[in-house]
Amino acid sequence: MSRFSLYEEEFHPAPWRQTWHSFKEDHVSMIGFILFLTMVSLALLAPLLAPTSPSVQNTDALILPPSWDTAGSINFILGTDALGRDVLSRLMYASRVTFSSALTVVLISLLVGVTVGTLAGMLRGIRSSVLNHLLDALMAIPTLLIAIIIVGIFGVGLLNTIWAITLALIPQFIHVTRNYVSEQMDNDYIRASKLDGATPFQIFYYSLLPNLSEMLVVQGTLAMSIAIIDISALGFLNLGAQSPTPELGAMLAEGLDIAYITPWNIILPGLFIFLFVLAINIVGDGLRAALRARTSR
Amino acid sequence: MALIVNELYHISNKTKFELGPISVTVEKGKSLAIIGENQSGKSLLAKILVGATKLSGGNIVLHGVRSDSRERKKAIRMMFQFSSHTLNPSLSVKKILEEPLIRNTSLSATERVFLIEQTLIQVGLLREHLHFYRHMLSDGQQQRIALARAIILSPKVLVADEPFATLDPSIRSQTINLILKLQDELGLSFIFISHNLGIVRHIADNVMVLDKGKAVEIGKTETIFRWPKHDVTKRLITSYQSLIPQQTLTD
Amino acid sequence: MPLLDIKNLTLEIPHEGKLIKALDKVSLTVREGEIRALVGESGSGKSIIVTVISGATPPNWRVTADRMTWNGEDLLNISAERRRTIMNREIAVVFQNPLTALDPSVKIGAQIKESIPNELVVGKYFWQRAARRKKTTISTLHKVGIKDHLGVMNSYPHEISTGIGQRIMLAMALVAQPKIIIADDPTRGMETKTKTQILKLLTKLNVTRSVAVLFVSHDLLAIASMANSMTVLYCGQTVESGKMKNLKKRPLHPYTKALIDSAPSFRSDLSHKTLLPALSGSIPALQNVPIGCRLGPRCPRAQRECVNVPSPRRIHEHTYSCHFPLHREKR
Repeated sequence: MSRFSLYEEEFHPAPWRQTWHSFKEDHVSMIGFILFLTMVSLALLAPLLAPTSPSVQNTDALILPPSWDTAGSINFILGTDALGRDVLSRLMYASRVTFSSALTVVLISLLVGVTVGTLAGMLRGIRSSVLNHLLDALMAIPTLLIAIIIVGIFGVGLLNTIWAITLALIPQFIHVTRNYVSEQMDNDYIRASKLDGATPFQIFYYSLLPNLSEMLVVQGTLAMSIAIIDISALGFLNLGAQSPTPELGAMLAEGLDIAYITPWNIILPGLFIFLFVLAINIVGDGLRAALRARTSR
Repeated sequence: MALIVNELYHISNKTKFELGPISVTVEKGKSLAIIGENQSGKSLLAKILVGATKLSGGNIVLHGVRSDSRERKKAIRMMFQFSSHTLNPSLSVKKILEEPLIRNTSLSATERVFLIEQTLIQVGLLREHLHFYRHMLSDGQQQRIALARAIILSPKVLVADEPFATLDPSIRSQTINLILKLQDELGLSFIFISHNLGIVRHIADNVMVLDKGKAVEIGKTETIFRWPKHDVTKRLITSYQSLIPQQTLTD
Repeated sequence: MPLLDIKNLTLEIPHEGKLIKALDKVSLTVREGEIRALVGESGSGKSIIVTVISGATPPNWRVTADRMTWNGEDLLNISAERRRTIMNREIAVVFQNPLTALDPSVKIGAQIKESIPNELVVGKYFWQRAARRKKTTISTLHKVGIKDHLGVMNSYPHEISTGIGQRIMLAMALVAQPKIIIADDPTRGMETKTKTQILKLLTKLNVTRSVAVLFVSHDLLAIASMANSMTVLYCGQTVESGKMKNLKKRPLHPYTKALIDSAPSFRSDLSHKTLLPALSGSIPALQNVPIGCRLGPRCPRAQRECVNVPSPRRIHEHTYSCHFPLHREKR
């Protein structure tokens, strides 16, 4: 259908695109975004990019410093650890493990949290208020503590860590979703949909979800940084991923034993964790600012 | 094709506010204005008429329409006070206008788009507005979309809660003209709440005065404005007349 | 001498790297003891003018004017100190929504007492001054028509209705004995009865205490019932200003006419349920105002000359900015 368009010169961006536009305007967010992309691609493309396998032990090259050091070797760009494993490869594989488990954690808790939160928000009365107070109590306890308790019950291991942190993050998602939904339920456009004969599920799917998605992106990025820190923390405490699985927190713990001789073995994993969290937080903040700029016009 | 409200009665559980019993008839193509002070139950009455709030007694009969609530909701549509609040900010105009069609008709996707385009043109917008979002529309356009949403199911009765209060004068005149035009074309009955007695006098055929949930006076607009009987009506009319110095109560 | 005299006020606001003229050569004069109405629809910049007068402009706004004086003092080049004193003592601003302008956690009596300037409270000891404050508060509440002063003084802002709230805002404005009250759409969204009361009160204050009033609104019915003179704004341009009587009877600018026509109450000749004369289109957003006369695209009388900004023309006290005014056809 080719129709004469009167408004061809006028550009009316869709909400998402508009958000992207104001996000791009902010240079700090953009740098954070590029950093984020770099880190994620380093992690996800580890099998293609890593020079060697993370578990190969080069007995002739133990605790080599990074290549720019006089004692270093060009074969191991970031040096080797106490078992002669290539630090760069291990870092990349470790980021892969940490990042993907954090992503899993966030996705699962987001799904569960939004479902329960929406139900709680759309319900009225005693059920909603009981749930709300229970959640408030849970939110008062730090997620890491809850995760440690859960790991204490189920036993150590990466899989249990993922479950533990998922369970610990769910209340936060429920909380934001519930608040947002119950606020939106008073809005006239929901009332108008009800008058159109929409069922509660249709209200959720057609009217609430499109508005919810933006808020969830923001909340998701924040949860992502929490998840990364918690997973590495549990790994560091030897409650999470067990060696030889490369994991950033576990690498930190391993490097700690000979930290005085090979400081790069703790500096580098720490730097990776820092960069991940920093990038995610900057992107999250930028997104939030961009969304606010769009809705407050 | 008249809307007949019979002994409508409502008592709210929480506040024990009593509304009614109210009996009123609105003929096809006629307008009824509901006026009254704050807390007189005007908005509640509007909500009951469109079926958003249940009535505790009495009934609402619309000639030629089956009396089950779904059919009635299709035939009596509502326009809210803040038109911008009734438009979902994340949905395009097309999606917003499609919703009542999906819920209440069995039209196919292309038929729906066709009908939406027809309605947009009817309310003085363009086809291009299909892809617009709320924040791209001006106040007047948002008001038009809200009106389009109300009339897209070709209702018999349009109920509006303070449709003009938040509008700027020139947009207000446009909206009034549009409603008058639609009323003429579609034979809509129009029930509206307003504080602006100038507009009430201009477009309403009948006026109902509410006070503390009771309909204290119902009658022809000119009669009410010239010879108000009840004290509440007198107060309302005098305070309005006092703004127009050259006219007196009996003209 | 005019109390407030603004000539060719231009305000530029940076937006996406460009400067937008939010106000384009606006002129406004308020004489001592008059009620001047500032009329405009949303987006006309009438609230921005109030902001500029009160001096609360953000640092990145650029305000230029040929003249902007208060009682002979140049408001553009004045120390911040002096400006504050003027705002405290001589100019009082009453905002649209009283309930958001009041502190929700403090009783109303205390809020009014606090707004009394110290120099107006005489008394040697603190109890004398406290008694004095209380006395002033009560008498001011009586002046704005609140008889139950104890009940109101002891309530919190959420416990009162908007009508009473607006009276309290007026009372707070009055305690400093200002020379002018700037009322920014004080009757918006009010029901007719409350509105009439507030308008009556403003008129009464104007007459009895000779306070000038700058009444900012788009409610023509309210304006016509009280104002002596009127300035009409459209999209940041003054289109017409003059005596209320003349403007209502013989508007020269098409926009003024459209505004007056939009209130059916003014038209006794209009028969029931006929279409109202209305300008087509809507008010453009500030980011994309048309060049020249900003009414241009909507104006039924627009011609080619309208792409140039019309310069204000003056007949007696009636100023208008239009190339093709009504009632004054070029022969």
